[in-house]
Amino acid sequence: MEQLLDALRQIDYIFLIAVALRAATPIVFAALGGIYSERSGVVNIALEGIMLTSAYVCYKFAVITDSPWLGMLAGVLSAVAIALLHGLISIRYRTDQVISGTVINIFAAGITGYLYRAFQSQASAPYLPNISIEGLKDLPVIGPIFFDQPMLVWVMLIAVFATNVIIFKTKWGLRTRAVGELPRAADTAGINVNRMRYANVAISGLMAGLGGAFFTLQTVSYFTPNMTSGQGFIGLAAMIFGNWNPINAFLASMLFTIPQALAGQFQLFNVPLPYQLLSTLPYLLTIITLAGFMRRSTPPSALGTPYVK
Amino acid sequence: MRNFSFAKLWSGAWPAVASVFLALVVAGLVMVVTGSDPIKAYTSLIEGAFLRPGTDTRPTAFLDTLVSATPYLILALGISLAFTAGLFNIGAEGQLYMGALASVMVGFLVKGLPPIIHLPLSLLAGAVMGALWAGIAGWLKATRGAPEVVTTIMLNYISYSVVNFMVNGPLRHTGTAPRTPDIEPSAVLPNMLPSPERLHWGFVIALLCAVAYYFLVYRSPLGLRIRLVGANKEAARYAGIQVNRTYLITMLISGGLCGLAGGVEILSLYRFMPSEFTTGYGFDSIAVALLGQGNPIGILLAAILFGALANGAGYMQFSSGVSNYIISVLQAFIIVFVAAPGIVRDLFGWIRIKRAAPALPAKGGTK
Repeated sequence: MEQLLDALRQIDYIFLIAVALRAATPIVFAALGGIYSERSGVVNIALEGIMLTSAYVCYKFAVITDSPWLGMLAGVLSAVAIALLHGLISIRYRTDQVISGTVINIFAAGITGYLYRAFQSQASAPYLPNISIEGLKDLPVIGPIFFDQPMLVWVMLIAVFATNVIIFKTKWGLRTRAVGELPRAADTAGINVNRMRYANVAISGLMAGLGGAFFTLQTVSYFTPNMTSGQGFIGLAAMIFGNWNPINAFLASMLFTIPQALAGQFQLFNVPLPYQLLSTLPYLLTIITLAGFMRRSTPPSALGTPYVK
Repeated sequence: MRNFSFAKLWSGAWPAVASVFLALVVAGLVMVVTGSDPIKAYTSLIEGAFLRPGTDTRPTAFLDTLVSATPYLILALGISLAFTAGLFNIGAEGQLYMGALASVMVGFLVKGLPPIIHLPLSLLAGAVMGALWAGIAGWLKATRGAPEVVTTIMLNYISYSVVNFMVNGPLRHTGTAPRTPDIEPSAVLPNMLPSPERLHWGFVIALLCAVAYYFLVYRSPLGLRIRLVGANKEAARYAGIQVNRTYLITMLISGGLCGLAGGVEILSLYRFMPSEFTTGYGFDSIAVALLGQGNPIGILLAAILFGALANGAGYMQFSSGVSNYIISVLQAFIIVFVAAPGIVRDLFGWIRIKRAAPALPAKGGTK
């Protein structure tokens, strides 16, 4: 107890928030990807595999071209391609979307592991730059949180607000939500349901692709098999906990990562806590939300149903 | 299966066999493109999985394939049962973890029992734990409409943390590595053959599960209800079947099988609980269940195939230099071709694949 209070006094909370924001970045990207896809009616549990694929391709191309930008471009393109594969299997061939997602996850883990072993290299990838603004970064509180962060943290924050505008304030978003809620009615109104779904699944890949880039171009400069370690699924949890709303999904991600960052600090101060149990928080909260014990989450009503004219 | 005939069996098995064959071809192409020799890889894979004879220090390859097939078989039966009711149990891995943990706990905490009681008790603990763990998802589905796809995924991650916590904390043995103490000898699931063979009685348990699955699904009133709910839950409801109750019971049995798989694996091969017990069996078994198409014989053959892939992969990597990750690629292609026969049709217009009624959920989704 003494140790706990002592630690609570000594922890640098600004630093803690900055760490949590970084940790939340790939989770938020995955959640945003999930929002685009699921708002249009396509379940996407393949986000994990898409991020992993992008992480590998980003690494490989950044090393080959010696440019993190070209690496990121290649990674994001590969992510969009894999997402479209998910779209093809689930929209065109109407395979159960959960099965399709499971397939993509198994495939991504296999192919990245295989390529990693087949072309093993010790080379480290060049990093994407950090946004570190002289003057601003010394500001109290917001300086360390916002103005001394990896570039993709900023891209993520912009993507959160952009997604919010796109989904709720644009024609595109209206159409996306229409094909996810009532595809028949949307079709009658002249919207090409499956084309909207393909497009949104592709954007979903773009988002997860940026999430993948965060692993190999901003966090560490190498690739290891299965390095995304379930972050895509936490993103899915954040999406559900945030009720398919971008801002809420972002807040949910922070809610998931702040306790993690706090646990990291406690460990430094040798506070005896069951850390493993703390890490179950995102999953527990998601189950509780889904069960409607806090407030009922309302997924798009046509989610998971292929559209047949 | 009342009118059993090989012709009928073959017409159901044909899409699965074609899918496996196509997947081998496509994975072979992946190897060619990346500069590996698929012929050499597949030859050594078959050798490592089936043909290598045993020596004084090395188990017979085929018998070891059956060892690897054991958890696949039990898990896939559990997953397939859920499919039959239109449920998607992605939580097999977590149920396996929790089942293994419970079996080990009874295995080392309970002392002084004769094996005839201790071993069944330990296995039962695993099955009950798995059933309860899946039962959470089943109960939330039945009472609150929470989608089992998502809840079982979340429960997977919770189970990893629980096991990790228990093994590093309350159950940790006194040695250096984070693991539990060894189970009592009376709780060990023994080998069927003398060392170095590893084939254990768990394989027989798995076969018994397959027989029980057949009688449950195709010969019992409960099985009929499960199949009706899976085929059309509205019609089932009109027919007076309590759909939600059937969901809960199905998840309990499905999780019970997955928990049993964990118990069998841990009481035979490990005999203690390690902190890193990442088997991946729970996910691969989804593929086994899909490939088996809801038929216990199909699931048995699919489990042996996947056991062979798992068992032969090590030797393949050693002898041909092709990474064993290619096995996952191969497995992914197998499921794609099984689950989306349209792709195969479009790829090879001349192949006519008759779609046997696969036991898939009628409609998926995180709804």
